Amino acid sequence: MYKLSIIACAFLCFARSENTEKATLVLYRGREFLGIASEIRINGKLVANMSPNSYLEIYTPPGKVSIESNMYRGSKRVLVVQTEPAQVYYIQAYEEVDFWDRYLIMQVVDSETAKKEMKKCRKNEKVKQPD
Amino acid sequence: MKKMFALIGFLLVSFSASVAQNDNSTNLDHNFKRGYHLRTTGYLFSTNLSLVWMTNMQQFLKPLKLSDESRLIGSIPFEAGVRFGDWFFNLNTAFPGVLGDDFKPTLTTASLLVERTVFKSRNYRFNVGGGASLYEYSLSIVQNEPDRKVAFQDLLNTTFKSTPYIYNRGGALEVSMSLSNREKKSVSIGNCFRLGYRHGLKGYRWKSKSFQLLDAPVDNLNMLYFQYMISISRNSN
Repeated sequence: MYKLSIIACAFLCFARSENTEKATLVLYRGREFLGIASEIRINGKLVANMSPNSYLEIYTPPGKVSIESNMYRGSKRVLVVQTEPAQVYYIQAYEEVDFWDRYLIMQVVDSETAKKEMKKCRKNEKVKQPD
Repeated sequence: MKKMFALIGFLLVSFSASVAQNDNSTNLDHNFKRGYHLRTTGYLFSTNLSLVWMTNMQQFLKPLKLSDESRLIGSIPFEAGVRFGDWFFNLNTAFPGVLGDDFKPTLTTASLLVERTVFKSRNYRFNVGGGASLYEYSLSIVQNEPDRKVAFQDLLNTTFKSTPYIYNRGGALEVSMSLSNREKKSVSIGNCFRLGYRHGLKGYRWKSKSFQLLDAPVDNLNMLYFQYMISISRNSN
């Protein structure tokens, strides 16, 4: 019993420390007239297909994180964010269309702005978390 | 007729207003207040498609099975215009593209269009408008006789189974809605899609330039048209 409680304690501590070690990225898009979905890759790994009026929650190891967007018949865009453990980063994304190209513009914004703009966004539940 | 135009206008504006509430990404780095533009697709692309209704002529063409061919006409659009804020003043013309072999219906139009943006997002403008236009629909019917032999010397004195061009020229009122890319740079290139309806002011008689055509029918031409154009605009504050 004593041994079992030690193992349980160790497991809980380990699990807790892993959670706090990860950084959280909240990537969101507001409503966009005729906006189309975009693939989102984190450090090269496909995590979700992101539509307008939705947001993603992604947990990543701290350090440099590369967020790549790729649109159908459009071009890739990459945003690199330096993340710290247990911090939350809000990233606003919106579609830019011109005659030659279409792509997603991404930028880090403060939490107040993001929370205000995200109010009506749906959470995308189909996120494959990166390792 | 007036009621129909008013109803279409009301529906377009209310639809646009409902869509406008759904977009919240309208912030632009540069909001250009005015500009001028040229729009076309070049000589080879007939991206002005018109679906034409003309009761009497289509009845006349039915026995020759040309009625359907006379309905859908392709032409090349060209437009020049200015923009003040959300108002567009356009001079639009569409002229015949590559001609067919036997049956050659052509449509030439010239319109003065006023459009207003009723909804704009970061990337698009949705405009509704109206205007007045002049049109000329012309056709000639040629029946080929591949087995007939004609000497070159007799070319000018031989009769052929063909008609000279006959035309119906008149005026119309029109309503339109268009979707175009938002101008973001001082020189911008974008797409412009337009759907419109032209209603002939009255019935106009079919005529020929070659002779005086007696007892020709009168037709009131109505047409639904679609235009795609590439727009080059110069914008300033």
